[in-house]
Amino acid sequence: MGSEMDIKGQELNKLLPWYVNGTLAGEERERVEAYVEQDQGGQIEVAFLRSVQTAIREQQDEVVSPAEVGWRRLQKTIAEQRHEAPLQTGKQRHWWRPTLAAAALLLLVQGGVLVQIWPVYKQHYTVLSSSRQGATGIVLQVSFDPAISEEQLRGIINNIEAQIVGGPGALGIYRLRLPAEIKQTAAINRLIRRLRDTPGVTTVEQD
Amino acid sequence: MVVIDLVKHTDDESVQLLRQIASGSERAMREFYNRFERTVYTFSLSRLNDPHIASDLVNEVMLAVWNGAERFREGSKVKTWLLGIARYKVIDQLRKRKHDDFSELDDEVPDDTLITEELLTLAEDRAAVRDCLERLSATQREVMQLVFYEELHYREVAELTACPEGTVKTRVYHAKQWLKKCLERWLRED
Repeated sequence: MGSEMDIKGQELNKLLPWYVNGTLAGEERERVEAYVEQDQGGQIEVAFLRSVQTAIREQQDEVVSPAEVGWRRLQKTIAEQRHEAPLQTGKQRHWWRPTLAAAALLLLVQGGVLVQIWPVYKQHYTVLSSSRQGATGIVLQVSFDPAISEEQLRGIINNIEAQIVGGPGALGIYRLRLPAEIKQTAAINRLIRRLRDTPGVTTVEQD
Repeated sequence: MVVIDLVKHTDDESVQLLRQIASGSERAMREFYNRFERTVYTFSLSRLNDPHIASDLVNEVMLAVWNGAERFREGSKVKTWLLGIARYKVIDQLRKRKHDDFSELDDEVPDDTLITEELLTLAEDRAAVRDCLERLSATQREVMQLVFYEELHYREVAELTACPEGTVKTRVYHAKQWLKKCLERWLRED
């Protein structure tokens, strides 16, 4: 029982510095207060710690900190930093760094891939949708229902013997060149009407 | 020159300042600097014992606040967060100087010294206490500074120094024992 009290006393004794600095609260504070009231050794410890605290405070209060000089120095450092990275403020100051790093990495990877495949594609690549050299013909702007399949789309284009020469752009519009023999306005309008009546075609306009 | 901080600021106000600093307000930075430069300086000086390096450190710490105020985790105490940055930079400085006092063992502690009437009277002698405080290990000086000058709770000291709460209590206890022993020597020498 006596040793149990000693252990409790030791635990409470170790809390005395925080009793003295005033940061204990609630039940912990009450327990230490009760200990100090009852234990003369605890009271002497508290008196000793208060003297130590006063000595530390006085010692620190005598210290002359950089204050205004330090602030001017900091201002200068901040100004130099701003000069190095103009127009960057607050949270915006470093946002571009990861973006730039990612972009640089992407360019590097793309560059590497292109260097590897370029010799192969240089020899064999042709633009499938490009018009035949010297080809002429009326061009239509056509958009399709996004729900139709690629096969249906190809079927519609093949039916009018058109050729994709552009698109689809951001709005999903394809540029289709009609066969060179369809030159007359009446023939063109008939084909446009036919296309407009075709399921899966949304809009048709002459380019 | 005795400088006494008569104004106690609330942590909410400091958090508000950090928000403004994060959006680039130099005026808020000035206010924040005025509130905390002394805290950073005295803490750094107590560890480094070099006013020039401690001044450099204030600049570095405040610049870190300017550049990284948005990294402050709300719910933390501003002073603890700030002293955490300062402590990291102090450790860096000590490493540069090849000091090893953060890894020193302070497990050895003198036998319990009873506080006699004489010892208690001597504890009021500022010169004696200061001399003994300076003889403490850097780790012990650090916890004494954080407890008795910065008035941090043991949980805050534990968070700041990345130590278990028990270790913090033991460190302060050991520092207190060393102080008693040192003052006892003063008595004997007299």
